[in-house]
Amino acid sequence: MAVVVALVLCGLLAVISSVQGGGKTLVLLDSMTMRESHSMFFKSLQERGFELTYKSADDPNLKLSSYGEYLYEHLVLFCPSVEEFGGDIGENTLTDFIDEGGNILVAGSSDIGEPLRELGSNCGLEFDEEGTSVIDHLNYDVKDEGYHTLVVADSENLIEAETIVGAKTNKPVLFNGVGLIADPDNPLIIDVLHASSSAYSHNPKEAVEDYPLVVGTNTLLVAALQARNNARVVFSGSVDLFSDAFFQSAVQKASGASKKYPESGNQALALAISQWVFKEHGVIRVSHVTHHKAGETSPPASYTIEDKVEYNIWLDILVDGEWRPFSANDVQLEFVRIDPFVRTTLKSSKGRFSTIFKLPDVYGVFQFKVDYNRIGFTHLFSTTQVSVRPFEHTQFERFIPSAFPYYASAFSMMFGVFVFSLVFLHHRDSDKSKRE
Amino acid sequence: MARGLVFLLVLVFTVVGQSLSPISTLSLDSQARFKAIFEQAKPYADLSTAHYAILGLKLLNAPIPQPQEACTFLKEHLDANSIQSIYHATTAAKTLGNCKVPLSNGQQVLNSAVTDSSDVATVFYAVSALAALGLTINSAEVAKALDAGLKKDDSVLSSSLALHVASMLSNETNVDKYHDLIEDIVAQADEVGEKYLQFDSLQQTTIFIEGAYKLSGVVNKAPVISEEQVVLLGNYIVSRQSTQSVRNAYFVLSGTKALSDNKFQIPVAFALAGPVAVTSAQPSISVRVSNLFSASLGKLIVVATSVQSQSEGDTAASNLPLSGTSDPSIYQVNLMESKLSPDFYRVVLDATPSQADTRLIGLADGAVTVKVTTQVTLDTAEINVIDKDQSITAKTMRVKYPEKVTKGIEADHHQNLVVKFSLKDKSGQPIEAHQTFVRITNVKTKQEVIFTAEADSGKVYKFTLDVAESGKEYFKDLSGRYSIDLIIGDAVIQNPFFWNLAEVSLQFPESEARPSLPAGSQYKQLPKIEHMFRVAEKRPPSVVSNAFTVLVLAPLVLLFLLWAKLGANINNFSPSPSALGFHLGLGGIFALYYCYWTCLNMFSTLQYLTILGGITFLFGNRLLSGIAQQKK
Repeated sequence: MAVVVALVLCGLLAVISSVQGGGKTLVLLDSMTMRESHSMFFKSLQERGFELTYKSADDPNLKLSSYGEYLYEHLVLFCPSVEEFGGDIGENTLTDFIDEGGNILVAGSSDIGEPLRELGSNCGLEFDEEGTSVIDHLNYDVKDEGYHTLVVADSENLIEAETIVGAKTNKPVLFNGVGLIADPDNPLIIDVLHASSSAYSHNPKEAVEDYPLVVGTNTLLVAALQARNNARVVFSGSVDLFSDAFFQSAVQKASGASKKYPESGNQALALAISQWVFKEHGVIRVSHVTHHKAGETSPPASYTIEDKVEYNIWLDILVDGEWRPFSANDVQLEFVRIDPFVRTTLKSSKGRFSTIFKLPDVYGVFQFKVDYNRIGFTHLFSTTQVSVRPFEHTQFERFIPSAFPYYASAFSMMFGVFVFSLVFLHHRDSDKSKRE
Repeated sequence: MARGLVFLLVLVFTVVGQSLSPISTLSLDSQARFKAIFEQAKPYADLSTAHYAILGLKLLNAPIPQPQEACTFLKEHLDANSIQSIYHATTAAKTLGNCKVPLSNGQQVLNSAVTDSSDVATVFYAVSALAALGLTINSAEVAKALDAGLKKDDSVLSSSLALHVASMLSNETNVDKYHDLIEDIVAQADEVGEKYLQFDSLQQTTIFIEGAYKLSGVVNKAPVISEEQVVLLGNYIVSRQSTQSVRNAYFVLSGTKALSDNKFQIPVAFALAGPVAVTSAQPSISVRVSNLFSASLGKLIVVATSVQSQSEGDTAASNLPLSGTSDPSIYQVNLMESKLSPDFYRVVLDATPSQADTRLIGLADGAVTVKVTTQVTLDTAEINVIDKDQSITAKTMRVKYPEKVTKGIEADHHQNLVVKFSLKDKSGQPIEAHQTFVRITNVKTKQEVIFTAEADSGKVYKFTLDVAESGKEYFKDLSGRYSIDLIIGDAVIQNPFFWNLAEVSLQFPESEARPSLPAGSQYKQLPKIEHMFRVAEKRPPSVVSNAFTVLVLAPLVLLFLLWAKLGANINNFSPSPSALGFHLGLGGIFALYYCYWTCLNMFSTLQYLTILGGITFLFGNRLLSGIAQQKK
């Protein structure tokens, strides 16, 4: 008994700990000095409850899992130049980690090593080759060191998704690193920040002879992947984007009389991205679902075609480690039998999304399906199966005007038989006729 | 052979020359940031934080905000039983000045800490505290305790602390054996990538550097650290300048200070103080020649011994003297006077102090990288439409920068679109640029495709668009209007530009290709679906059915009319149970039929019918037999 209680408690604790923000995080660095050069970023993670473990990327004692259990929930890979991970981290360890639901924040730089490029290509993103940088001769910062690789990315180039990049600002983002390109056939890649049309990725010290791998607005500076299991991975081409120096730097484009921004947008972006990638933002779930005929409270064994049905679904969103009612005006319900017959938008109030609609005049086994897939949110999918049967014979229309002659003849016949039987059995001839 | 040897020698010299110059210095920005960190450390978290913040501000020559408050903090947090706590409090109090830490029996407590059984750190704390309090140090006792401590633990940290302790001993004490430790300790440092020389932590590295120079200063004998090692140690200390913590900021600061202000070895750093680009408007480069603290080294004569082009590798200019400026650490030279072509250049610098100073390391072969930029001009671009089969130019148009052609250029899938242009620098010489891209954008969908233009041997750029092929590959065969832009840029071009030169209409071959879904469409709301209910069949007008209803009811009416005429009656009816039962039963059966039609199902109808039928049968039987008897 005690064991059972303990197990239940453990289960509860596990649920609670997985719900709360934070969690164990492994930070792999090129060199330990990055703890200091990126201290503001790490400090904000720690303040939000993440338990950070710093390791050098080539530490021979690295391991992600022990006896089949992952030791960390999240990974920060700020080790762009690593040529080979130390310890147990092999070729597929990181992809397995993602497959098991782990979240990774990856940052590269111009001397990007093979393991990170490989992780990128496994996730549908290609880092440009070692030695290349994103170059933008028209949008570079005044502090650039000569090769125009300190790129200023305008805030318009950020994706419009508040859950990923935070509230809209006009502060540009400083970027210095390698370009990324997305596999056009991978629908899960999210273009978080791209370069402007005049950017390209190439080795700044070599002449452009072949067509560069990434050019123009296809040049991704920061890209994200939300896998089908809701594991999140963010790739940034620049590890400097997260550095204290860039956080505190002013931004001014070198060309002409450009506006000077006293502060870069890097800190806000890095904060928002880390909140998203480590599942502090944009995590929603289905709390419960009810459905019944309009005006009733419990679901019938089966619905009849053309019934009026009320459908309710309660959705929660994770805010500061707590589940709170979610609100949105674009949640859609589908009533599906192989194909959707009805698709309608649900009205939201305090986390309850509901609608009343008339079932189609087709019978069969249907599903109420809510498939909510929006940029920045975890994929939400809920189906409830119900059967819909045809009318019973009494539920058809009984008195069709065109058929009145038939009803009239039938009922007059019945009435006639009734009256005739009375008359036939109880008729008495009049006395007059008797006398005759 | 001899040539090979010379090459090798040159190689050796360049390597040595490079490594003898620090990578960077503790920038003035970092110093200002450190000052802010120290000032914001208030209210202090603990005694050591207070200690480091106060000492750090002192190193920066900055006033300590509210010294009395800080003093009160030190007094309150002093733990008279902990030697380390006494060390922090007394050292900080001494730096504050005018602050006396209440320590009634300081001498006694501290002296009792210096025993053969205590470790070097404790000895260091005790001796430092004694020195800070201005109390006498029993050098013989301390030396004995130090030796015992080192015997137990001769790690880098404790050996380095021993250097500090030794430097505080009285002049009569022979500390040469501690001075000899320097060589052993520095041999234990790790070299990282030929750039840094470091111990396990910043703290250890700084304590060692400080101790080594302090002790060497006391014995007046140069420490046994090679010049290269000094520079690499400095590189490591300075590389940590991004720190945000009070403690590490203090150690970076004190380490840098020790390397820029000692009697023996001071690395000299050459760094650009201004923009990297040399333009006609800004023809000079500014070089900061300083110690690691970014401070002046006194009057120097600085000469650019050579200016090497990075792409060609040759020396473009040599022996240019740099002139001093109002900032004593910054020197300038006008590079434009040497008529350099646009490129990146490595400027090799030599500095000579006006008064010989043997402490300075790396006065020769310091290097900075600068670039010489130019204005680029593009007069006209030529747009040709060429028939693919006959190679006949169907149309030629010249566009002047920065105008734009919007009419008259059309190309279909039998033709090629060719754009030609050439770039010239200020002197009219044709030049090549790193980025010479042609951007073609669909005016309607805003979808853009970028191509590169390639230069021929005469540096004329040419870009050919095969309309048929590119349509399939890039434009999804979407015929329509496209705008053509040129993007020209290079690191050495001062005026990179974006020129929208034409709007053309491209005619691609018809294709069956379905337009693919735009990216991200899976995240969009889907279109609403409303079920189309089956429409009720059209019914004949009710007049017809009503007329026929009347017709079918007519026989019933006729029946009653004729009966009335014939005098039909039910006078024989006697309300006997059997008569009532039969007729009610019969009526009930008909009523049941009606119910069956409107609301009952077959099974309940049959149930009711059995009951009703049975009753009707029984009563009917009795009624009929009664009537039959009556008639006899």
